[in-house]
Amino acid sequence: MKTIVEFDKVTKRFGDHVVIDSLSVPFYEGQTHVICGRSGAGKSTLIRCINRLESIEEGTIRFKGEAVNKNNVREIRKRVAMVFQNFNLFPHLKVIDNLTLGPMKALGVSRAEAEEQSIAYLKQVDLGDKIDNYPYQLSGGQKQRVAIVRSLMMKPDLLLFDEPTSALDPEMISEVLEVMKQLSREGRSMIVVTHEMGFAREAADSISFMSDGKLVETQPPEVFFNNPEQENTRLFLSQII
Amino acid sequence: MNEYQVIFNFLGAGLLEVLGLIPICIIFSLILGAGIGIIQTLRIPVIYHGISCYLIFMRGVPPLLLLLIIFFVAGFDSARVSAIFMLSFYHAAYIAEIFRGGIQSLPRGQFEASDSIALRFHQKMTYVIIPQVLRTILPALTGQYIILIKDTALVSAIGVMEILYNARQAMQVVYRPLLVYFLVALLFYILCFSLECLSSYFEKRLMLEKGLNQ
Repeated sequence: MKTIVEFDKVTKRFGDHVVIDSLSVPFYEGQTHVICGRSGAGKSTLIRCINRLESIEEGTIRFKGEAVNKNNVREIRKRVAMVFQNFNLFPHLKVIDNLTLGPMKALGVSRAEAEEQSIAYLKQVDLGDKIDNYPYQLSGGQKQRVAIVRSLMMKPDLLLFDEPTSALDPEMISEVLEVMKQLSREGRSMIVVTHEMGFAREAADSISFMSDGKLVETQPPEVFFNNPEQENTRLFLSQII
Repeated sequence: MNEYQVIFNFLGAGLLEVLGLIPICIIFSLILGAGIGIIQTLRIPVIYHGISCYLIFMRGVPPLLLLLIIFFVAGFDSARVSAIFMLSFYHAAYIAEIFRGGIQSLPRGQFEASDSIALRFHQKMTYVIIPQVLRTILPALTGQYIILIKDTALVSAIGVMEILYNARQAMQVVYRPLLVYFLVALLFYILCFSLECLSSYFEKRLMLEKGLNQ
């Protein structure tokens, strides 16, 4: 299997606090890799380092063999899309303009092409009638689906999800997870930070448990849930399931 | 010529002078203030402190003194040019702080989302950050420009023939201080009130068109 992202002895600190501790791990192309763990374990920071929303102190992160650094960060961001916990849609822009901004300005796609693509994706996530709405007119689940479409509009090689359902009301979680499962079935490369173990069980190719800045254990879902190796993982699973 | 006509002619000429000054100063100070405000949010080592000195100086010196310094020390030939410089640079310092505050109070997620879709810095500012900042700072900006309008009365001190200067000229001919100063006050009130109306018109339009409440 080809790796899409590889961490090589990566360390990230906030002051004296070590958030990611000399971490080495590969993420594979076409796979859905779920990262779970207690809050403060460094999960979000880990994926935010990939598109350099956070810088790292030591080590190397390679995206398709290319070390991510200050100089190629824009090129990397064109190919790595991110979905945020709080959606982070642009509140002053209509849905359609939220979606076309990236492709038009960063990728140089024409407006007509970008709009056509947006409409096609919006229909796929059942939001075909929301094109001209503003974000404040949408529910949380709808906002997050728009945000997912915004990330797809970049035609990314890798999708990063940073707790995409944590800010949603319970009844809206499933509509977002359905979209993510569909993307996973399409064979996209995805790294997902989430507490949704149902999603992990169903859609993940591998699951990692993160604790204190380290990936304690990485397993395929059936092993991870039924027969985890580490005591720490077992404890965590017993707490959340 | 009767005395009302004298007063009218003088104050009219003063009003025209001010109407010429205000838009130029508003535009200069807006561009300068927005630019400085944006640069300050980047906290570029040496530049940050250099600009901070400018901001502190402008905010710590009485505007009248600043005007005299620019006119007599910097040595512009034209009083009008000195006036434009003083009003623009003085108010740009306040406007820069308004912009800086506005940009920094925007949720961090807006910057991160713009970064994650690979926008360049100027694209991020133009399409995402500044349009949102303008909505939130519009009231503060209006307040600053009302002060700017009132500060135009200061430039009479270096002989720019604005409303107050001409009012005093008119009184050389017709000694009616109560009437003349009342009219001056009325003119300034109308100028400031018009700006306020214009601003609340924009504010309402922006709010109606585009909901800010996320």
